[in-house]
Amino acid sequence: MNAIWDGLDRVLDDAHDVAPVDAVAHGVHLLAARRWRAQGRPVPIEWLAGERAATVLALTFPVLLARIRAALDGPIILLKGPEVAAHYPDPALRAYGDLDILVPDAAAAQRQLVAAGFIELIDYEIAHQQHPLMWRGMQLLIEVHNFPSWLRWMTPPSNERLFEIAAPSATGVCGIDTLPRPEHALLMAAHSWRHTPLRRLIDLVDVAVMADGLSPDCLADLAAEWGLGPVWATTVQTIDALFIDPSRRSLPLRTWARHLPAVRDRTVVEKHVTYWIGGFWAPTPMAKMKATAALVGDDLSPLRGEPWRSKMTRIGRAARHAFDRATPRSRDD
Amino acid sequence: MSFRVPDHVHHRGVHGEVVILDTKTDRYLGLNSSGAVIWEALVNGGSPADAADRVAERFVVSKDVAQHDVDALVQDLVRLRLLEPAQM
Repeated sequence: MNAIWDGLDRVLDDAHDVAPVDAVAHGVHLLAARRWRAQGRPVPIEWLAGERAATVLALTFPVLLARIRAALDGPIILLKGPEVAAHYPDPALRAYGDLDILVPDAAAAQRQLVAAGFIELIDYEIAHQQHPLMWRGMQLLIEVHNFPSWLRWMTPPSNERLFEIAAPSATGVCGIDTLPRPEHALLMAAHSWRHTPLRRLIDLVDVAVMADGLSPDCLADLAAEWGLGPVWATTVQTIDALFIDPSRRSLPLRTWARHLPAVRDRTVVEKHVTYWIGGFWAPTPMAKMKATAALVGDDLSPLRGEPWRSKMTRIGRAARHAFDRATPRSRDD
Repeated sequence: MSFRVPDHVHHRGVHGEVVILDTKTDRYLGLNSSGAVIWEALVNGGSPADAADRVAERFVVSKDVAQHDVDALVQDLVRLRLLEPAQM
């Protein structure tokens, strides 16, 4: 495990003058703050604010999970966020903005939580989850999943299978389950690639943390079983090249993923191009073609309910700012 | 007199400050560096006088000034039910 943190420290050091906003875009600002303090460097105010926010979240999530547990019957699987943070040296080093839970009947659970006092925030529709919920005054959203957030061109593992293998959460909140670490590592990779391939540094740290100490062959076999073979191979190769052995510089890090070792946000054009090429990591040639066509079509189409005029305006703005920093929000953040 | 943190109050330090969450009211409270020194002294079994000693030493103020500030904060924390007298 130490190799991951030493490797990330080396990436941060080698990047030279990491812009505060870029560290935030990569989700590593809390880890960078720790590194800057160890080196006697002043910590940017943006990161100080992030540290306070992370402390608030560390206090908040157990309380919210306990209220969710009290409101719902049946199993609850906690995904990502605080579950992954529980495997960090200090959970407050991992920022997150919501609690993702998977339940057998998401629509029914949503109604039960609203009846219990949670407030539903009406947002644009996302296939894999209900509208976000919040508890008045508490700084964390809750997302009840219909199924796990997954690559758009694939079907995720069945909920039945995930509930079969669920294990107690590492957060220690009573009655809350999670996925075993191998499956959770793959889920983190799939979720990251849903947005763009090799999206940001914290995604790779998460995968490395969850996969730490596990058999690489077993993880590769499970990835192949879930249709994630090529995605997993590229993810692991990138983690090795970034954090473990920089002499193993990978093709992605030398080309379309240079934003990772540079600890900078992708440009607008980089973001869209890497989104389109994500389909190349589908497991078969036919699947690659279908996935690429789906991703390009998805990116060029309006959001649900958005007029074409609005979409064309956004396309024009993206073209004019093609080489500017991409915004941190993805289409379904 | 010593104090304890009620079960419904959760707290966590962050680089010399303290964040407190009251789960009965769902309200958050932040304590700055001097407040954090007082809080840590009290929740670890110290008396207000012990807390004042730590503040005086840490922030180079007179014991009287420190004691006044400690007493004021303790009064607020008890009023907000974030601290309560420890059972003897």
